[in-house]
Amino acid sequence: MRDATQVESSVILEYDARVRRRRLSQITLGLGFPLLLLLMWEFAARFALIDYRFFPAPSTVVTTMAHLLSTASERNQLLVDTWATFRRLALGYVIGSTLGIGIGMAMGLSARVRYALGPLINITYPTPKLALFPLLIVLLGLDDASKVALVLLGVFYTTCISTLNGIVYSHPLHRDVAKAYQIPEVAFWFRVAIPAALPSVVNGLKLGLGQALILVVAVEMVGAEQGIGFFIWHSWEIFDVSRMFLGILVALMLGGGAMMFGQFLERKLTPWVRYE
Amino acid sequence: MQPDAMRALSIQGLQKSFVTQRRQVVRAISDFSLEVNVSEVIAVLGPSGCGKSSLLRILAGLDSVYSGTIDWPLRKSSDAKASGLQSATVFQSDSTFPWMNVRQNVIFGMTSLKIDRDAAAQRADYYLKLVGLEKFHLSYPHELSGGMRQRVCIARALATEPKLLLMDEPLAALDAQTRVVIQQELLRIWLQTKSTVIYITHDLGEALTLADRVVLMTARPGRIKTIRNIPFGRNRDAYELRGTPEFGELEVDLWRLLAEEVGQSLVMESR
Repeated sequence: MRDATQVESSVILEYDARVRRRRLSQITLGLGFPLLLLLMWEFAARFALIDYRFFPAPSTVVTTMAHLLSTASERNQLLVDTWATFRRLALGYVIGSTLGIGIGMAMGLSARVRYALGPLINITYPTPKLALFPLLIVLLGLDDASKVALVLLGVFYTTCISTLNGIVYSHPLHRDVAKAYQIPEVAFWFRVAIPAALPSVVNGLKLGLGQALILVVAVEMVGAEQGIGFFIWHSWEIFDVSRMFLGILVALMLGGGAMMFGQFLERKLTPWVRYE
Repeated sequence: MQPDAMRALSIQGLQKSFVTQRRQVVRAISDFSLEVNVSEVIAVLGPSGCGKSSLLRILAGLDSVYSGTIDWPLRKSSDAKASGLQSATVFQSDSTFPWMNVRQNVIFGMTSLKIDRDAAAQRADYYLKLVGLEKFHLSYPHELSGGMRQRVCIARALATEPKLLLMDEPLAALDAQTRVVIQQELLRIWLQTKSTVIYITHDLGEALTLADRVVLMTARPGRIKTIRNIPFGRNRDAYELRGTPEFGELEVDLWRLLAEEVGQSLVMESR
């Protein structure tokens, strides 16, 4: 009996050690490789292998950033710009994905809605959304509305199409079961069709985040007085490269936050989907 | 007892044709007639493509494009939807819903029945116990083995207390050992539930193990080649049965008939 427990605990110890080793190498490589790249950049800038006016050494960038952030006015400016971007992003994303999922579901569940809206959506989908920005300004003015609308459009298409596909291409066997058990239509929608589509919906929501971020930064570069895109573009225009990198860093963090949000959604909404 | 009251299902002159993408008409089932009695287990056996799955889809209500008549005498006597479904189907591949736990899966099958939540929950627990899954009622399908998932599907079907239990090669995807274990369980369960069953299979041994009558179908278009009574009674043992000489004789006998339909290639495979 004791032998058995001893063997068991040694197996567990060995397992723990294996897990720890794997995690250690994951972390060292995951952090080490970007650090190596930074180091190469530093080296290249210091020895003038690259144009240090556009690519100042990371150490320079960090010191300038710290200097910038220690000034109250710059700090406020950055906060204001980040908030402006976040607001546009959140508003456009929430409205766009709500509409996209709603209309995608209606199309997936009703053939008539699909026939009516399908061609229109499929034809307009590949239009570069930025190309519509002038039109949106005419319609909605120069304020936030036109920028939010642009984000909304981008998110709408990705979520609408992935929701539609999720419902239409879900397991035909699930439909058969519902029919064979005479499940009423509404129960079929909410307990079968929509849950079956959820992994695809979540995927659309994740893709939509990237889409939204690209659009908001791009549109802020073109026509805005506020926002991270504007911050980056403005820094570039006044040739303050370190400030520009600070803007890029904030955009990067917004993207990282968005990715984490996407993963949270995935875990929350589709716990039965096993992923590695 | 009137003979008509014992009749669970009556199929007369069933025909089923498909139109292929090349606009050719393929006849899947031709002139199929069968009377099924209450509490009888019928195995439908035939080579692949003989239309046995088409037959099942029609009976399950998944396909309404056919000619011929299908009569459910029991339906007239009482409201079919009140407490039991007309037919419940167990499919060949795993048909559990991955976002519902085992119990929810079973209860969901009873959605269209006019019984209250508590009654449905009680029934679910009863049938989950019957298939030996009472300890797993809160598990999700991905936490179960293939055999256990198929037993969830069997419990889901039984819980609707159907007039007719339809099974479309329900054990085909399982390994040989699990299959025999579940066959034995099915025999035990049917003894308790007195279910009327139509069991589609391409496994001759399985048909003989489970059925009161074996319906052998011809190659496409599927017709009834022969119907054989299996004289083992309902109270039988799936393991012992296989060793008996009667089982062996029936197996050889039916194999010959089946082989004619399947062709020489399958005869070679079966050796």
